[in-house]
Amino acid sequence: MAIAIKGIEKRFADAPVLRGIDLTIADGELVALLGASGSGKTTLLRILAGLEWPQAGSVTVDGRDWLALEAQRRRVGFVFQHYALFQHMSVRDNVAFGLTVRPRASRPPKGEIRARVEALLDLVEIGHLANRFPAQLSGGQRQRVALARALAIEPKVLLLDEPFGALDARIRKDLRRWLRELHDRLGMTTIFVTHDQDEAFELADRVVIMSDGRIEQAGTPDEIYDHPASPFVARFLGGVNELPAELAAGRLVVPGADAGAVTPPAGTDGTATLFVRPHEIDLVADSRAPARIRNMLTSGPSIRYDVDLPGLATPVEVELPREAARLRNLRRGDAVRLRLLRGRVFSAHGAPLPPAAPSPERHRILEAAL
Amino acid sequence: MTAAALRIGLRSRRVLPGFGLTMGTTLTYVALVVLLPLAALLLKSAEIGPDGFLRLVTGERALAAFQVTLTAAAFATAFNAAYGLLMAWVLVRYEFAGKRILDALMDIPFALPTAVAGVALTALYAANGWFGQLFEMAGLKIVYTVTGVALAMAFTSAPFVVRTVQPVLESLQPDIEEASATLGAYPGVIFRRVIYPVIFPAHLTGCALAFARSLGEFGAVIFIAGNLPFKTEIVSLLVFIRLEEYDYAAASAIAVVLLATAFAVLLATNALQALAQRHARKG
Ligand SMILES: Nc1ncnc2c1ncn2[C@@H]1O[C@H](COP(=O)(O)OP(=O)(O)OP(=O)(O)O)[C@@H](O)[C@H]1O
Ligand SMILES: [Mg+2]
Repeated sequence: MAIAIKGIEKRFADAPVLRGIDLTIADGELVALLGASGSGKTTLLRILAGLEWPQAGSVTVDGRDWLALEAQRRRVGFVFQHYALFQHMSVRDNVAFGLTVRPRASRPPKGEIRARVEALLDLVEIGHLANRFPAQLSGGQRQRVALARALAIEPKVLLLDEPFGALDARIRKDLRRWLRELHDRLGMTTIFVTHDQDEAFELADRVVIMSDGRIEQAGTPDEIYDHPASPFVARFLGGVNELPAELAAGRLVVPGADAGAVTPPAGTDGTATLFVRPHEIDLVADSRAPARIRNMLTSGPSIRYDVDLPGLATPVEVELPREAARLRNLRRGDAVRLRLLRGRVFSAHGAPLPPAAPSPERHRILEAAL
Repeated sequence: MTAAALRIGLRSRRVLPGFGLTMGTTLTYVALVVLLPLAALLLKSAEIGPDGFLRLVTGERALAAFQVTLTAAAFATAFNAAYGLLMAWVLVRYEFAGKRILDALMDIPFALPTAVAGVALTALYAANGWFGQLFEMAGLKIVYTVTGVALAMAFTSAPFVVRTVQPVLESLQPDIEEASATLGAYPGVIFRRVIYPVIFPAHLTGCALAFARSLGEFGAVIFIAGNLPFKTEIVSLLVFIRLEEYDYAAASAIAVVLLATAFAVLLATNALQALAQRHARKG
């Protein structure tokens, strides 16, 4: 079901938690809500589920005003962060709950409920655990029970709050792939909350990055990675160098570095910040250059350099493929020039400037680098 | 349990040491404080022989006292089952002015000397008391009736239900109720199928304790009861009267039956709980 969220504002006792959320989600989309702790992800999810109501804004699902519906009538599958299983019921009864609580008129007959529960348990691959109680299950198994229970009501919208939060890294990876398949197979609209950037990027059609009650950016993983909309997003994605830069007469000047390959953004002159990832920088030995290699580290297929640039407190991180690094033949203490192949420029006030696009020169440099 | 079995239990399950010491202390305490007096009581009543015992406890006056006590205790417990649950619910679920005070008031029946409670209740519910007048107008007599006995019992045993249910209600995670709601369950169903099953064992315990306490309540009851033999005389008073008459045999025989009843109630409760929890904990 297509979901349209408009202007949602939510305060808890005057503390604003959501400050105007606008988001549309297409039917069948798998969307990840990504953001720091306390940014309002859970609150947004709870509003969609009907467990919380906003002070302002609207939620429309397939043209219907959802805020007028109570949780019971939204038919939303909600998977809680801590599973929220019924401890006094067997796995089977947990999963059957959503069917057995229906009013008699719309409740399926006993045999049918039983069959559907079996099918669901098989779907989440825990058919053999049907008679156990939640206390007797592992974290991953509980997660599956919670999911099966949510799926039992045949939701058109599935909401998951940090579904893999409590699981170890390997199981998370397996479950990720499995959840993606499940989503595709059942054709629901799915929204899940996560802290884990890899998880969001790997799993979702679209990633929504939230900060402090606002959406910083919503887009496909590629869009967000290649064109972060704000310094916040660029920083949030991590592993990025921030270089002070100057915009003058349409040219980008980065002290100590060669920024000729970065297309300077159109717009006002003045100070700006260039966000550049370690693998978007090339190093050229140059005895007159002010930058010095402080440290180098081999990490399998690539070499990482820490480069001291005068005027910068933290060293710039540079990553070269092993092959390119061998050709450069650089050592600790060598003077180098930084060649920036690509980057994103933001004006000093954080106002996003049109993102820098790759220029033809970049390709030349890339080719030269190898 | 043999020493070997104890040691295995110790090795395989306990995290904290000191099993031997704590178990020993507890057993000694139970033997001295609980079992010894009970044994003396049983011995005393055993002296009478089965026939005499039966005659003493099935005497007309004794039977009437049992009936009064059991009936009143049953009503008091039924009332507290509902009222105590409601009170615990209100104290756990809502925030309101004076909540702390109300919470503290819950313990008054425990803290108050029962005789004081008895006098106060009698004064309130006497035909010319504040509440008594109102009931009188409705044609209801409370003082010197079984209703009064039940009232006094209910007053002194109410905290048992409140205080056993309260912590369990508090420990309930709100997310299981929210999960139920998203699965389509409305409040009534949520209470019946999700909340009550969890608090049921505690509720049952509270009710059983309240009932057992009511059976033996003395101080609070005798003032309001009027103590008319065959009408409003409770068992513990009868025991007391027999003691006053130096009829130790009758006193201990009746006391033993009272004891057995209370014990049976607690035992049955434990059995019921074991049944209810059989799945929830282990498999
Ligand atoms: N019921 C509530 N009463 C008061 N404040 C609340 C309530 N629920 C959430 N908040 C506040 O709202 C803010 C956002 O909370 P929310 O749970 O939505 O964050 P989140 O993004 O899910 O964080 P996390 O990643 O840690 O789960 C937090 O500052 C939190 O303290
Ligand atoms: Mg959260």
